[in-house]
Amino acid sequence: MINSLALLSLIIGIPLFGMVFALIAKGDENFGGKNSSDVAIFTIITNIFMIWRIFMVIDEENLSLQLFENISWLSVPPVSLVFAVDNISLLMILAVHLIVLMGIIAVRNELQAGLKTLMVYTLLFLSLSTGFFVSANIFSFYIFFAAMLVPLFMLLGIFGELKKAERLNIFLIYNIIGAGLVFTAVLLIYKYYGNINLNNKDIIQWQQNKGMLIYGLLALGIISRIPIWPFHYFISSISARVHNPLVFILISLLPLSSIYALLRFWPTEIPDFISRQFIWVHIIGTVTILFISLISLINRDSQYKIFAFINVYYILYLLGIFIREQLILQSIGYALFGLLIIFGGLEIVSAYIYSQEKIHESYSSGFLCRAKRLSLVYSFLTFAAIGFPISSMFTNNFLILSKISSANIQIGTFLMFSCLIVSASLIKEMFRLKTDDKESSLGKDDDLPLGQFVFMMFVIFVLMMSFIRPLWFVIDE
Amino acid sequence: MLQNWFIMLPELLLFLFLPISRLVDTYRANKTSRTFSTLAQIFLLGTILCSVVFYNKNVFPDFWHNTAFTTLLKNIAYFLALLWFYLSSKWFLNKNRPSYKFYLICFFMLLALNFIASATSLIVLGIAIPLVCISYYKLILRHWDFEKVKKVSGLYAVAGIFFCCLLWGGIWIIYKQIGALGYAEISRYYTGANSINIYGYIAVTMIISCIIFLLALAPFHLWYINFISHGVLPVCGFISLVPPLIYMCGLINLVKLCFPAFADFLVPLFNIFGFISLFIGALSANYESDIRRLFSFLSVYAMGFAFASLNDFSDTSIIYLLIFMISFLSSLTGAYTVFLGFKSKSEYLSEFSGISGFSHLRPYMSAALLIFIFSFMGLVPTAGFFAGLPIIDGLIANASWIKIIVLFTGVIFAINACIHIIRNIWFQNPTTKFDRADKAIYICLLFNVIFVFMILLNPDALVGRLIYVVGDIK
Repeated sequence: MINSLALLSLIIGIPLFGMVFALIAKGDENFGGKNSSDVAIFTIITNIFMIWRIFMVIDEENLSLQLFENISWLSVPPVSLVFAVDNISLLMILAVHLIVLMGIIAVRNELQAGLKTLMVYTLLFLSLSTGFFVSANIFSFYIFFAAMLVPLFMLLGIFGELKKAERLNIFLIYNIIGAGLVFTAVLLIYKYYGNINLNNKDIIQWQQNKGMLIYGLLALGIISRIPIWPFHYFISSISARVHNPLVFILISLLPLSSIYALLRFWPTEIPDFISRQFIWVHIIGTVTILFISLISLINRDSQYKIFAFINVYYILYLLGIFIREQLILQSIGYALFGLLIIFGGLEIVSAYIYSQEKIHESYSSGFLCRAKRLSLVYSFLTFAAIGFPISSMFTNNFLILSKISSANIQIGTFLMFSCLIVSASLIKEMFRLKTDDKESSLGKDDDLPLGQFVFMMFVIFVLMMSFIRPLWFVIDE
Repeated sequence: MLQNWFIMLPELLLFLFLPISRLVDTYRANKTSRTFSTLAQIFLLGTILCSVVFYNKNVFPDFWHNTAFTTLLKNIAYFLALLWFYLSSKWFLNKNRPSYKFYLICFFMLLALNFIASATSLIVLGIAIPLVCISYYKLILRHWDFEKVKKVSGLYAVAGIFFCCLLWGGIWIIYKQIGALGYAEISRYYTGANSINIYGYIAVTMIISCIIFLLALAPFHLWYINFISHGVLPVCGFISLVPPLIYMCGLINLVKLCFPAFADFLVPLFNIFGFISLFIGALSANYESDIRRLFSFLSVYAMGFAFASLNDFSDTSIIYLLIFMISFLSSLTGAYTVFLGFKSKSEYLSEFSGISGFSHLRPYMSAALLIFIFSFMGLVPTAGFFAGLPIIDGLIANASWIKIIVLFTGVIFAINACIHIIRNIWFQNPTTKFDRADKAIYICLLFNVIFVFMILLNPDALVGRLIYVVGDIK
């Protein structure tokens, strides 16, 4: 399907326009910050409507890429950018928009200094991440894959409050090396096969034209963004320590780009001698998950628990991708939608609780006993996170885990055990917040503001509907 | 006859500036730096206009020859000079220092550079290059504190004389062998020869080494670093922005028109100097706490990158090289423009301790600097990536894996150095109160950013012109 209205370019361009408006928003630092956050919210809502519109244009039964847009960029060497979408990529874009919106709503009242800068980089990131999800050929894929690092690095540097600045250098250089590996692979593909579209990826032969090298570089470059051993340090040393909820959400989307890239790039046909080696990836992944979940159980930091939660599932989906079944790949896409929204919601609510605890200097808590709205939202999101049948995560995780278990029962058991541990750590945190402490000064007045509560209820509604039917909001024309 | 005078108008205008500015300096009562800046801009605009009109007309084709290629590169250099003259006048006004001699020497240098770019005879190079060296020597002496620059200027004079002697030596050997100094005759002689004797190689090496010295490729880069460390900001900006593209133009003409028979010998030679510069530039930049010196090392690194990645002297390679150079110079111009904004209590700061937290007070200027730094780093989505893409693509197409690995390692070191700048300017709290920046800085930055984005959004506009002009090298 050819996209004559350039809808996909538009959803990349709208956050960019928003960024420019946010940048030139008038007023002093505080007032200008509020203006720019309003611009950001308006931009994201506009883009959500555009995404909704695109959902209605595409054929939801068709699993291949649709709405192709071709933009000629460079003639020597000939390079063009191609955009296209399918259900999964649109769901990813929608989820990212929703959680970024949640993040902005959460920080706009909390953060005074630097809000404008935060909004500018967030919108830039949003534009680039949208570009990444709609990329349909190797060059556009690489450009957006690497470009996302720029706003993330700046956000981490300005709002990350990192005590050791060297970690930031390591983080950027490490990611640039990863991007460099992908770039080399992309140029090799370009040399032997041209600027191919991602739906033609299977023309890359494993045993011809340096196919092994291409796939090796791609796998290494892409997986390096997921906190799986031995790459775990570079990601977790930074992202688990970020306290700004919006920045934490954005940095946690970095592994998502890898999962999505593997969903797109991983070939359908894999030689036996290669697929036999996947057991090592499964073992390493399982051990990593186990360690992350155990650390989250003993760690008292609520932020780390959320970090562990999302990364355990990222790695689980990574292992699911190696199963190479269309149904599983689709399940991963739908599960990711639920996972992202639950993660975003939990992070926002936790950050709110943490900020209130900090204001009242009351850490023994029992806060949820007195704040009804907060309790409702937090409890629902926690139950959704631990796997209750109230979001799209439930059925899809069930499918993915059962498929992995049927392939290797030991690995499957360990994975289920890890998921249980990470769920236990989330429940432990919820119990802490629900165990009433008479001395705590936190009360009803510190509950979630009504506007934010209504928005969170809308998010919960979206989650519940995704359990019933993932694409419930699509009205066939 | 009259026609010839018109054709020579670009050179004449550059030359005429010298006596006219002298007259203005002597007879005009209310002269400020703006007076000379305006005069310089008028003459430069006239030069640009005339060189465009007479872009392929020649009066002395045996000595210098204008083509679309030389005209484009000369005009880019003139344009950068124009921009820098405009910005430099702010520095002179702020410091309340006389600017006449600065503009005078710069125009003298531009005149000499004009001949280097278009030279078709070694005798022209033999005269113009020493004149450029003299201009450098005079420029460094523009510092008001002679004691501070005495040693640097002395060292430069020694090095300059040595490399000029090498140049003359090389020219003399060639003249002894061939009996002519025209590019065409030399090219015919060596291309027709069954084998080239050792003296030919020695002569070519001597001539090229002089140009490598001017390009500040390591290990002959120290003069440039010393200039940046001790020179006043207008001088640093001028020598960093204007001459490199002209040297590149002169070098390409020299290799393509005079020494094509030596191309296979010269490419590895340039690669070696390129790799040395790449690593020395990138590694040294990591230990710098002065932003100007850091950028000077990054310039050495960038020149190194350009030469290390050179595969041959084919049209395609030259186009890739020029794309890289234009992108690099546009970023460097932006950086130098921002340096004029690092002003506190009328002093121009360059140490990190003074400029930390700059972004909190001057967000737009810092944002522009950030774009230029990311472009320097070659990150997506900046013009630097677009400039590096064809180079790396060419290397992969030639399966030059070792080159790629070495280049990539150098890039990582350079990126680490760039992160130091970003960390200081963006991630730290301000320690200094900066003076209000001149509007001219913002205007120039805006145009520069627009140019960078235009390159990025429509690279074919640039590539198309380069394909045309490179095809015109003859």
